[in-house]
Amino acid sequence: MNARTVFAALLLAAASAAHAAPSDDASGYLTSGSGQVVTDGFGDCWHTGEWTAGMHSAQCDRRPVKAVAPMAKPAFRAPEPVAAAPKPPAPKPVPLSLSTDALFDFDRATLKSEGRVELDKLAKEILEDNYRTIDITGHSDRIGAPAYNRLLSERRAQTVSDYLAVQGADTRKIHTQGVGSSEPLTAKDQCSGLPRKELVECLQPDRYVEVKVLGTQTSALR
Amino acid sequence: MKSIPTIAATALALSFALQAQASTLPQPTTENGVTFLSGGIGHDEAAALKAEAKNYPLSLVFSAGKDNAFLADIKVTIRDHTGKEVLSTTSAGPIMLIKLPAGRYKIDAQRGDGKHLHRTVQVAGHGDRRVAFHWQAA
Repeated sequence: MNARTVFAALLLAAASAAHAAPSDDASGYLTSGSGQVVTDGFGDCWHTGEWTAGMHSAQCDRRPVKAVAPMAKPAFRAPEPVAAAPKPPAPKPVPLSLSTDALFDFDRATLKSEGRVELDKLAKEILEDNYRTIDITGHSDRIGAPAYNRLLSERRAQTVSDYLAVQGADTRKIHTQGVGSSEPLTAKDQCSGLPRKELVECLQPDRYVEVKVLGTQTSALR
Repeated sequence: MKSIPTIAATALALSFALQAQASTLPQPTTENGVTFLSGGIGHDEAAALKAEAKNYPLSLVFSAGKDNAFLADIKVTIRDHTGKEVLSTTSAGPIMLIKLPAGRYKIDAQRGDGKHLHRTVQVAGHGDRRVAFHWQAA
């Protein structure tokens, strides 16, 4: 808290916004009628013409070495907690992976009715709680052209986002992306050499939508 | 998305249900007096564009490989018979519909890997000429 060197006369306009706290070398600081040092909205003190270097108060120009001086505290102090509560762990995104096949038919970006049921469950879980962000990533299998797959996976992520928004999710907190077939869940050679129909089935795990919910510290979704 | 209900009182849930079922046609845009639309990502949008193709004198379809995989992000440049560029854009999907005056045009399509295909086509003012650009290599 650096004292702002301003003469008291300048303060009149700001006085209404100021609040008071107990003082030590009170004459060097602008004080209220009850003798308490006045600080502005930033917690800075106001020096008077009588202020000299070395003057200090609890909240103004505290001496650096004598660091035991208590920090200024608001008059209405919150009660100390009986026992120090363990610091809640930093929130981590909860990845929820939904199979695309459960939500969409092959090569479609519109939800099928089973997909809505899945998303209703998800929406209920998310929206009942506090959430900071919802990251939705669409994934596709490797069948088809990369650019096409990326756009289809984006489209599917957007469809999920739109659905959650209709259920009441805050669109400002939703981020969507599609990464095409760049993050498959099947191993590289797992489905090699299969005829098309079997290949589509074999690659089923690669068609998924990932929903990561970042909860707040008060939320169960951590 | 012309069938999204415009009646204000329509419930949101109903609105979404209809939107999800709607034939989702991308919005046309106009550049240098040429109106076009592109897309076809996903079966539904592709079907909507194929149905709309009859209203456009020229349709382009982009595919590759023996599976005829649909492509996207194709750079399309169209020049008239004098060599003047009439359209230069990127197709958002495998299907592109273009309104062009009757005439002869040279079309250049370029895939993401830089490989070009060229076609010269005759467009009739009221026809619905369809041109396929197929790259052999997937």
